[in-house]
Amino acid sequence: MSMEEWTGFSVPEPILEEASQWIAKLDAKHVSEQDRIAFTVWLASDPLHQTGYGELSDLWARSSVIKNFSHLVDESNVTRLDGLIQRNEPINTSMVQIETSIWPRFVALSLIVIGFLPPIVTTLL
Amino acid sequence: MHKNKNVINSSFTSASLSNNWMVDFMTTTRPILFSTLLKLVDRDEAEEVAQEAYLKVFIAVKAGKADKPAAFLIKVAKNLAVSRLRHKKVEANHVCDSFGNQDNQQNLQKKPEEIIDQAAENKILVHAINQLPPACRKVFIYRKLEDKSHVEIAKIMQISTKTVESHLSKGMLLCRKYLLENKIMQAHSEKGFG
Repeated sequence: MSMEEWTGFSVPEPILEEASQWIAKLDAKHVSEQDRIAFTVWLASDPLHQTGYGELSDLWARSSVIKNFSHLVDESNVTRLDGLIQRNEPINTSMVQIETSIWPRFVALSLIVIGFLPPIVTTLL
Repeated sequence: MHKNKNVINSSFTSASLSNNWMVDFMTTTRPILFSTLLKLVDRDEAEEVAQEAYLKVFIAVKAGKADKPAAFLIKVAKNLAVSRLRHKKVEANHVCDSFGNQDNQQNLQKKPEEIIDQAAENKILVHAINQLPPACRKVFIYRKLEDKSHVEIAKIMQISTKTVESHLSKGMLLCRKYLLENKIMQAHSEKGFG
């Protein structure tokens, strides 16, 4: 545990929000000169900004570890939400879906036919 | 331009360190600073060094310890760049000596329990990412697992790059919250509070 955690010290939420916005902005490939300057001013203007930025940029850097844990990463919504990505999708998903949707109907229909069989048979006889 | 000249040449008291002054100072010194730095390191590293150097200068100016901020800036930045180069050289020699990659080399220097601790923490971080809201997680995974750029992610998800940014920043904050809660729970159970 770090000193901050022991003492219950925490950077105020609004500052953490700003820090996270800066990290995301600077993470882009092209960052304008104005943005870089504005960021430096922000960082220099308050020691709490430096603490908050330090804490979150550490987390941001560490989060690249998911590359080594890709088997644990839940990508379910990445594959399900849009049709653009086909990878990881089991090929026979649609077949399974057809089977599950047709079988109950088939059974229901045959039960109805069987149900009507006795009266039909008796009238025929 | 005349105003800019003043920024570099005048001397400063701690009271003069306003945001406007910092912007002016950076706008005027960045070209000189980068022409110096780019002879030593690449663009990305130059940005990092510049960042650190400006911060040091501003802190020194605030404390009234830098009479000539522009000269101080160049000196600090040069030192930072050189020490980076030196570090890189050492690192390169190190990697040549070892069989494995750099990560393994770093792990060899750690105690076994440190490696286990780190692995456990990384797993918690993966859990933290897994519990993010769907769109947020999607952006996070594209960026961190698949190394897609903001522009690429924006195209795939048909959102603006601004939205990509806001998902990433929201994701960071939520992960931090999750890790913190997890740590508090762990501390409680270790001490028998829970």
